[in-house]
Amino acid sequence: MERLNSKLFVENCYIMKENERLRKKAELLNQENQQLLFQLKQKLSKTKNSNNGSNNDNKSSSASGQS
Amino acid sequence: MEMAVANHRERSSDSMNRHLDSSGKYVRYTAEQVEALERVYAECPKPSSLRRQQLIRECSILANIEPKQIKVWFQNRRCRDKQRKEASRLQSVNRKLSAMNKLLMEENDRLQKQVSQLVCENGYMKQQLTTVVNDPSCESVVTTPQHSLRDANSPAGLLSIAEETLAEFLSKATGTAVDWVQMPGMKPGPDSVGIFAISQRCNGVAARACGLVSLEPMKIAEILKDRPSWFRDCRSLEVFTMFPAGNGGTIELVYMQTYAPTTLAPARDFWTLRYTTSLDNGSFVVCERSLSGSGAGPNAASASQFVRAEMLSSGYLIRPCDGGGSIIHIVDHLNLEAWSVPDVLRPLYESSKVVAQKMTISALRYIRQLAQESNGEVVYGLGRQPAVLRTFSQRLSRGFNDAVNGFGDDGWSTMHCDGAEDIIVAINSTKHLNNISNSLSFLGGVLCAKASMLLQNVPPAVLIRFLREHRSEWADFNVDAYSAATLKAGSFAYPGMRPTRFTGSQIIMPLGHTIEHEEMLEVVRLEGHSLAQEDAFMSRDVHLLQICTGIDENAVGACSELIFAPINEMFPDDAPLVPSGFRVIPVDAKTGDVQDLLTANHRTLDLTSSLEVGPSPENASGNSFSSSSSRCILTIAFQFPFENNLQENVAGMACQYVRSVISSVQRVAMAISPSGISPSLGSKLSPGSPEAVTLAQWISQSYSHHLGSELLTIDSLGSDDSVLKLLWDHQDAILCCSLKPQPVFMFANQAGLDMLETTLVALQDITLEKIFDESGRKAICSDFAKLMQQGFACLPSGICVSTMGRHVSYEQAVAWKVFAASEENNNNLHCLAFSFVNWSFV
Repeated sequence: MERLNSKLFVENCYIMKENERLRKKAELLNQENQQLLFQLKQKLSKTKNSNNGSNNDNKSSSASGQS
Repeated sequence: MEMAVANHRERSSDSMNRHLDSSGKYVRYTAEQVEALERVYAECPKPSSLRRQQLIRECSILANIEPKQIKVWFQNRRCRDKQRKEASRLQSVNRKLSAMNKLLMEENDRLQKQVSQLVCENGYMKQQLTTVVNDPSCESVVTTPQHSLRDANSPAGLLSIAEETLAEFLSKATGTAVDWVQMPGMKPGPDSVGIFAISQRCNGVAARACGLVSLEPMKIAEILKDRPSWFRDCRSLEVFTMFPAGNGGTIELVYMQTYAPTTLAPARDFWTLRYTTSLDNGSFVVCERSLSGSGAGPNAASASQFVRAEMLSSGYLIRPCDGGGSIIHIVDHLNLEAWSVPDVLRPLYESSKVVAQKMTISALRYIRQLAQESNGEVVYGLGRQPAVLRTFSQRLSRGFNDAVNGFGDDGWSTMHCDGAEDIIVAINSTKHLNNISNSLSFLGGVLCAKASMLLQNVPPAVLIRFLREHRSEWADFNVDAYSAATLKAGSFAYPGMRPTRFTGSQIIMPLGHTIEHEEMLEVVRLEGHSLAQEDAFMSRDVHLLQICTGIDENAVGACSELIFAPINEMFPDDAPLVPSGFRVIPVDAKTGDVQDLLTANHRTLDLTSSLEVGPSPENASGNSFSSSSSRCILTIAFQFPFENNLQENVAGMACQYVRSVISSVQRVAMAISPSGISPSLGSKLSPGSPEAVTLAQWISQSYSHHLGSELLTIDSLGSDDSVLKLLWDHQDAILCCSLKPQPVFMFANQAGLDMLETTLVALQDITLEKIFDESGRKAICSDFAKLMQQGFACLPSGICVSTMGRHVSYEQAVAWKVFAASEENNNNLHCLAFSFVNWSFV
């Protein structure tokens, strides 16, 4: 039992370290994720702006139609 | 097969009736004989030979057994008892470890899923970014956070806030929404209450705990929701509205007031939504978050004494555990509006460690305590129920907090003292005290003198421990006697101040303590000695009920308190308590870059760790750095009951007394502060400090000097810090110990701490000989002369012992003298270093 317990303890320590590592990794990935999201949004709004005129017309006409 | 098993079982149960006698034969005992022996054993497990002889004489059924056999029976019986106890201890450790293991595995699973999902998402987004963006399907990927204004007055709006709070809380409790790092100084292990983490970089302050408790989930939720019962800083909690959330859960709107820790800044209050619900997997969740809007408390006058603080999604996740009990996750995430407090106090309001100690850890500890009590594992002194004693502690703590805060709606008003003082004197009329106890109706009221101040270089735990153990250094017996007499006066005429002399004897009688000894309740008896003849037969002793908290130096961010109140010697359960006392709160240092780096990489480091370091040229410059790392705020509040006509006198006396107590405490603080005695001895040193950098250099320089090879392989001409970093990360366990007759460790690198299973702080209580077993000690002794002559010694492979009692084998150990390379003296022996090569747990 003693042996089993110390094995469990070591294992727990190991998993804890591993979790720490994963958490770090997740954090980094999350940062990257946010960055990519931001870039995507920027790119999107650029394309939107270029199509601006036609898009706006569509929206306003549909809105007035509903009301 | 079946038969064999049954047979075997029968044999093992039979073994207690058969004992090997001296000639190696089994002796058989009949059931009656065993019963008789067991009866004696229950009374006295270790009977004397006289008692054994008497037993044989008196008990006819044992008459035919030899005395020696009886002796052997008792020996075996004791041995069996010991084994059984050990087995059950191991079993319980095993249960804990297994549960923790399961928990960690689950977390691991979740994290892995999260990582793979993020990798997948990011891959997709990258792909999207490189392809033509005109594709309208892109828009579905971009999820803009919705900050729609919800109506906090409509149930539907509240429900959506509740659901959002739940999601946010769960991602903090089990996910990565907050950058959790392990709480420094609290290593998880079989003996710890739980796993604790704090955040260092999130918005506000946050702490998380996870632990196993042998109580039902429902019961735990009930206890945790009753925050005033375990959160000592909670003044009141009021539920304003409560309605069902439709899915079996309930939503409550809660107004909570908390106490301010010092007299320097106003208290905080919270206006929150609390959502209690259960999840599909059978877990219970209580989550809570601040609501915007005023949501004023009971009345404007009361609320005006508070600064509104924010609770970000926090709560409790309680999961039933197979085999009974529950696994609890606690998250506390607050924004205490640190901008609004004076600069000195700001670190206190920005410290996640403080929140961890005050809320998160104490919640878990409280639950653990209740669980132990309900299992009947706690033994309390003087025949009082644990609950009664707990109420005493709560009342003391509450009374002290009330005095420190002096809320107007409690009846306190500030009164002035002569001169411009830091000491605030406040007065409370009897009316409000009547609510506390009717027996105080004769009093004119209670007066409180209080102050908060900054102390430098004083470990709070050491200061409070000193104040507790050496009361006569700061207290005036006559004042204690006065307060005690005034409170007692209800039963007989006010006795005035009779001439009494304090004998100087203070007796502390423990009443009870919490499971980890972080809080102790006790009665202090101060022996008085009457000077007047006619009082010769009257006891002049003064009794104080006292709690002492946080005297464990290793608890990071914990505040230390000594709170006492005069009490009648019978100490009835409903005794009126007018507490006074001290609170010392450590203030986090503004950490330097190196420290930040090191703490981020190695969470076991502790900023407040201190090392003994001899005189070094760096010390002069290092002092300003290290002194700022140890500051604390002392708050002192003393209460004095008074009779109507005596208000002015008592106010003057109170002011004078508190002033004298403060100066005594400052004197004590000066004496126990390491730099107070000698700035070069025992100065504070954290692994990122210049002293540690210097020590690292000395260690490696001395090594190459003695052994002719390099300890560290420095690939570039690195800066001074990199030597420390290399040493710290070195795979061999490198330890330093002092040169005293009883060498004590003063430094270890990460591998060294891992090997000894300790922290830098705890390391300094470990003596060198403690880590060696008998043969190891002999080996050291025989090589010691060589070490002192030659400057180094190589020890053969051997075994040493970690602080947890685990055996560690190493291939080789090198010991060498470390010289301080000071300019004046080139041969200044500083300490001994050890390096354990290729060590592993056996």
